[in-house]
Amino acid sequence: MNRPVTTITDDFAVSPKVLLVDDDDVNLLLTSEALRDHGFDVVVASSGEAAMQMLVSGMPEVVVLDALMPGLDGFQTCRQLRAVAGFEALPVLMLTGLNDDASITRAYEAGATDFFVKSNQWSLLAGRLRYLLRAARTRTELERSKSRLARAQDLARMGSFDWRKGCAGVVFSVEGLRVFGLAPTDGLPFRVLLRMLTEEDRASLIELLHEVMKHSTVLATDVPATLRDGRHRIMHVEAEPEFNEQGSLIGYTGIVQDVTDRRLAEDKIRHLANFDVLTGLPNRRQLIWRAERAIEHGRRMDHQVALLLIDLDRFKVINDTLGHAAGDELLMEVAHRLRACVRHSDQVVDGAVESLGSRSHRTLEAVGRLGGDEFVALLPEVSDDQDAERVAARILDLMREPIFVGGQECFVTASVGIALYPRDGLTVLDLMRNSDVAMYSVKAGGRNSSQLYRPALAGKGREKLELESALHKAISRDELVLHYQPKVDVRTARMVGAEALMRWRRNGVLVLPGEFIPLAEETGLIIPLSEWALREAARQARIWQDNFGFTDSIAVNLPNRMFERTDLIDYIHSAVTAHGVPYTALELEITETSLMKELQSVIPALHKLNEIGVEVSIDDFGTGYSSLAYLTTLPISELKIDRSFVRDLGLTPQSSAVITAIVALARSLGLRVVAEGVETLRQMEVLYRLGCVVMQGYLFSKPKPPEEIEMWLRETIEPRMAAWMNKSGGIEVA
Amino acid sequence: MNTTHNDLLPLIDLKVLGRLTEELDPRGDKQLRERVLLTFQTSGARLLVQAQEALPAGDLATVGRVIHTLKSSSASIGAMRLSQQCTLLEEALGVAEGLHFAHEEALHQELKTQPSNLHTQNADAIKTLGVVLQATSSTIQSLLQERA
Repeated sequence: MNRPVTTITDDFAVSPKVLLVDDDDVNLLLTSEALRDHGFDVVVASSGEAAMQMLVSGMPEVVVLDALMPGLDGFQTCRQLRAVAGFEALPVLMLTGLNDDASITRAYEAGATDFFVKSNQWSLLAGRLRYLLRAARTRTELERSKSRLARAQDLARMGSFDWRKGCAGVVFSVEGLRVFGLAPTDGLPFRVLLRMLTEEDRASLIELLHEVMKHSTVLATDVPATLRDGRHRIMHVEAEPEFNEQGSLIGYTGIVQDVTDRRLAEDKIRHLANFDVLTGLPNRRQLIWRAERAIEHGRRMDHQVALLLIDLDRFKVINDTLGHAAGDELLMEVAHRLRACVRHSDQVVDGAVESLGSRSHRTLEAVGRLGGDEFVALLPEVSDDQDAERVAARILDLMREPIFVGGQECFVTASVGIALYPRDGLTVLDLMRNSDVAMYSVKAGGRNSSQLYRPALAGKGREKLELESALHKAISRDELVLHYQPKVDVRTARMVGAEALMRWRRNGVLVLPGEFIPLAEETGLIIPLSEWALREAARQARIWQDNFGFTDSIAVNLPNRMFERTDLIDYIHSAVTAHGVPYTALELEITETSLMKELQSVIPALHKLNEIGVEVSIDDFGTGYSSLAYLTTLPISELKIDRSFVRDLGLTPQSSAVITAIVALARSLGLRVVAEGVETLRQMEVLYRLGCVVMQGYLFSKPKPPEEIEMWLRETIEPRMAAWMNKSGGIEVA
Repeated sequence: MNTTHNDLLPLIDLKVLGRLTEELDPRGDKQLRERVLLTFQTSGARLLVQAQEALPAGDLATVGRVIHTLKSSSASIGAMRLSQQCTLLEEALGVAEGLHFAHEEALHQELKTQPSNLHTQNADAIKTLGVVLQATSSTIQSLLQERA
């Protein structure tokens, strides 16, 4: 300790308690009086034995012992006193005769703190006692702060060490040894310490120590060590040089701290900040960082960098149907496969790549996840388009194998957009955007392929993006409307139902379903859109019921995905109850193709719908490949003949053969048949002759806003004003 | 009784006693003077008895220690003649300052093996000591009465 401890002052708060032991009553009296005058609280004992008795009952702050006493003399008393627990550090002043060197020596041997020559100079004695008390208190403080320090160091897994120039080893404090998992009695020779390090770390530590000592600089380093019990820990070592008066190095003093936990936490934080939690791949931040370094390198070394944007096709379908857990599982598998497509490196997180050598940019190569089902492959150096396309092909190829998730075999394809530095962009942002454009063009072109960016693509991609974001807002902005096309029974010339068709009034222009439904399907927006359509159709049914006693059904087209939702019934329930119409006011249409694709998962919904009275119609019937065996067991009510057969009526003999078959099938299964796309009187007549009486098409009415349907009913149907009415009337059903 | 220079020393040096009370009881409210003198009378008598008893038993170590104590308490209160008598006796016993009981065992042996004429001398010296103590004690007595 070089610094003085200044917390002790001469001002004692209370009178210090002194035990005065002397067999000389006169001296005892005089000395105690004198010490009381000097502010001490004096208790007296006239023998060593009496003193020991008194010590048991209470502890004085200082003891004054006459060396020569009958019975227990001062030396023996002191020795006994020191043996009592708690009295090891009690200050003891031994009173000796003048020039009594032997007693002085004996006093120290007996454990006395100090000696004093017996005399009548009591103020000197008082002074000496004060000094002893101050020293004792300093010592207590020191002990306390030492133990506090030891405890603090223990908590911080920290300890200190010393090294003296010319000495062989490093001396560790008890806490320092504990950091290494060693007991206070264990030594830690330097060579044993070095043996805890790997050869490589050992060599670099020795080199560092030489360097530090050569320049007498501060040492600060982290050393990974394997302790004697096999634990791997990271030790932080920090030491400062010490110099003598002449300014030459005499040694080092420092601390060693186990920073493993902190390091792990730091690593964890760094990892969380840079890597995707689900897949363990680099995240957007890390990818951008890597791409920036790669571009930098490309600029300096004049080579190309490729960025591949990989988007899974129809991932949202999988997520919606199999659940998020299965979706996550799938993403993990995809990540695993993508990793195999490049020389993926997890090593680089941040720091200077330049220091890693001229081929270092190779370590930037990686696959990362931007979020959702979007991945990126970064190729830090490619010589041409084919390089990048080869990787894209490998990616598409690896996706071909089915992926098992949620106990089901899934087939996943991907769309890959490729952008190259510097041709397709000079910044990461440009490359990201343009690879995105290229990727979108793959999606538009039927997915499961890759595409290099071309400036011509840019317009298209952007348009689509805008469309997507606008569609998101369409519902809340009330931009969607339903138009209705009547189903007509030509025998009675009456409307027997209507099909609801969605329209999007976007910026005053009516957008047809063909332009936004595929996008809605792709983005999952089809779900909220369908829900909206159910509510709106129910609302309209109520209005028509009130206005002209409408009791038929409004058919709403739903994607098969809706049928797989367990909450479909709930939606229908809330839609009809909200507007006070029966379940039968709604009918659902599902295309044959989508029904057959996911038949097993749709069937339960069909049964439930059937139970509550909501009829299901199979749309575009005849285009898919329905298994007749299935058809007989399905709880459906209606088949809608695909418009292509109606269109070809009279043109090809096959079409009428198909229609005949459908009508026969429906009749035997007890299903209604509806012909769609009826545009001419001739088509109507043929259909009628083939046994189909319910029709839908421009011949009767194009899809119209609901008010116009009412007008059509009022002005065309009721007055029986339409041309087709005369034709159909009187024709016998074949 | 020898007529040596110690006859010249006062039985009680009032200056010493005065300095003592001046230093430790300047206002006299503690009755220090009386208490010290009384204490000395009591302990002096006790110490003398201890020495007288120890001598025939050959316990010269105790004799030496007792004389040493008596020497210092008498010096404290200014009983200079008694103190000097103690010093002489200590010297006669061969117990020099600084030797004390550092080698108590050896000393004990040494004292035990003293020739018998020395033994007689010691007995005489203690007698003398007793007389001086008596004289000192009566001086103290008169001092105490004087006060009262």
